[in-house]
Amino acid sequence: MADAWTIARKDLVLELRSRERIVAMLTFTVLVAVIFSFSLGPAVRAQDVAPAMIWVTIIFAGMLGLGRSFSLEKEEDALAGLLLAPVSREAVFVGKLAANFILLIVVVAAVFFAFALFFPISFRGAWVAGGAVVVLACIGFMTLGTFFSAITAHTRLGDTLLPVLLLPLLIPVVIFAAGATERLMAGRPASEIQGPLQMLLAFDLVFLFVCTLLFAFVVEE
Amino acid sequence: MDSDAASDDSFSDQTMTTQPTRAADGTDQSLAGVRIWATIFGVLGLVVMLISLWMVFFWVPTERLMGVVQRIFYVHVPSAWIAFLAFFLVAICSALYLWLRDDRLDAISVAGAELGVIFTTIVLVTGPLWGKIAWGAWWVWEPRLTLTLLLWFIYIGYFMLRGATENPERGKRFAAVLGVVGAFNIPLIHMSVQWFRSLHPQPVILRPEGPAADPAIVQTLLVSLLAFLLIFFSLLLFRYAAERLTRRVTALRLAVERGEREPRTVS
Amino acid sequence: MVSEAAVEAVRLEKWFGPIPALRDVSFSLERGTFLTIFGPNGAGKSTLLRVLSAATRPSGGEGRILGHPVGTGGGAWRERLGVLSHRTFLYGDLTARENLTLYGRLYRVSDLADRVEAGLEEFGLARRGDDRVGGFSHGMRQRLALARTLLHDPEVVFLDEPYTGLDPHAARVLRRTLERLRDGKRTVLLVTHNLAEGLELADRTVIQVGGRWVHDAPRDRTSAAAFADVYTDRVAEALA
Repeated sequence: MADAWTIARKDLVLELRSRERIVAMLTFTVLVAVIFSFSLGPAVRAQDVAPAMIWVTIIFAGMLGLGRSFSLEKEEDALAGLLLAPVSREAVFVGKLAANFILLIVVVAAVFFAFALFFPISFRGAWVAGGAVVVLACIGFMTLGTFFSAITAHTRLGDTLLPVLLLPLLIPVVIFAAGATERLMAGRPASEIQGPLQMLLAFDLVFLFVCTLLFAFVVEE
Repeated sequence: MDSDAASDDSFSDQTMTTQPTRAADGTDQSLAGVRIWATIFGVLGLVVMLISLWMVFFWVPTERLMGVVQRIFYVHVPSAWIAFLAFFLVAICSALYLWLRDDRLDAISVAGAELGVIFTTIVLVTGPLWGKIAWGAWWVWEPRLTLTLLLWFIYIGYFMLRGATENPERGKRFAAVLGVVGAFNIPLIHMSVQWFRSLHPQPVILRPEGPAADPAIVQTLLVSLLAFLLIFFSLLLFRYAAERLTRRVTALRLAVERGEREPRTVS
Repeated sequence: MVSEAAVEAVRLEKWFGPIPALRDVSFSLERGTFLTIFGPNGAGKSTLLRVLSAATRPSGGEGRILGHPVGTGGGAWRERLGVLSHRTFLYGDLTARENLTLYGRLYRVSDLADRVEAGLEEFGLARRGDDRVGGFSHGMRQRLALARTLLHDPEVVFLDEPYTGLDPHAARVLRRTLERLRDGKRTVLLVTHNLAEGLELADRTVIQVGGRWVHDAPRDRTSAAAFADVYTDRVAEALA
């Protein structure tokens, strides 16, 4: 676990230095919020569509940053260096995943902030439930996202292939996260989102397990 | 260690199983056995398919509520089950491939995934044909139809991933990994789209308390399923044999080309 | 423990499709030996190092480092192996010091800060320690990569064409380092196609062609010119 944190911290330091991913993701987020507010006609109640838009924005912004996660390892073949070190492959995966997750959480905060700025929406006091939805959904998203960005980094198409592979697999995350967010923002009681929360948790556990185990096969030469 | 890594990518086309040394020992060169079984299944499948078509069009009574359009169900449902069988096969063979690295397992996965895509395509075509009349719309975001559509996308991605990987060994590994992850995702997608909304006619055959439909309908469906199953295995074996032979030809061609360029390095 | 070989190969095979990169390579390398493997391009020399460091799977056979079978996982034997590749494995947006610290942590180096300073000092990078590697010249990166390889004081060192593209200063640093490794009784496996550089420090010389070892002998006192004749003969024989 210490190795995973060493690798995650390395990724975060790299990101703090270059800021290339975070800037791209944040700019994208704000632009999407602006474009949505222009594209919605006056008859549409923003509250009705905002939860769906929020999650679409998060998924696309997240995908924007994922491509870089493993391409930065390939520049001087540093991934090969990490793999030659006495570090378990599982630790490398968890480290990359943790860095991507932290980065995404920053972006998610910005997404909610931008949408709250442009549209009359809020969690209506259900901050704990809302936070749980966000954290669980982002873990699931980044588990599959990190895993597949490692795969697509080794293909000819690179980042172009990432959404094609990732989006169908992320449908459960999108459905449960957007559904739960919608209910919370409509002021429904937190008990109503228990089902989606459990499903998000199940998704996270299944893929944390499966992807961590299979990662060794992805990075093997 | 780069110069060799670069040559790895351009030349690594086959696993050990297709090395000239092994291929030359004469075992199962033409995959004749596989092709004989494929032919047997194919002939049987066509016979049963004719019987099932006769049953569908002349024997089984028209379902009272849905009318004649219900007959599409004898194609739609077996196709869906076969598609799931195919993806299940892909998942099993993929996991085994990662463990054993036997090229044959990868060839079965390729054949299975292609057939899975074909049968999901049949489901996606017949579903809306039925839906237009039953629901009044070509496409409805109905859970099982949605699940089929997403599966279709996942396994289209499976082939794009293979095609986009320059090193074929790596492509096989990536595809196997996706085959396993995709299979784990199927129940989760199913539950999520179920939660999303439901319009599909409730299962009438697979119910705990036993089939609820007219026995004639069930019998027709079972004959139809048998026909699809036989044809599926026939196509699977043919496709598998074709895949293996293609790989052998590629390996031999590479060996020959290499032999002409540097005739003395291959002993 | 002491009697076991530093590096062992048992019938190693590596095929890329129908093309062999390693064919039935078996050897045992005593601890403290400096082995140089010569061979023309495409002989599978780099592949041998990659298989022995478990960067890639062999098609058959087994490699062992200090008695441990190498597997593609992150086994503890990796702590005792240092690998210098063509690529530096460095992060351009980290400073020299940060790069070394990162790898030092992963290799569980004790007194890490001191080792990092010593490494920077030894390879003439002390003044540039806080500069990002992205701005370094090729020679400086190579020196830093060498510092990274040796940071955890490995018992076995693999070097793949280390002289390629080095300026005279970096080449001098490298030669001094190799001498130090030999005198410190480290086991070194050096791969090169340059006869002069490879012969200088070798205890044992091997010529690999087409994935096979066609010559394996202790380095005698013959001159470089005499070895060059042997090399030309063996390569020609193997290709005939």
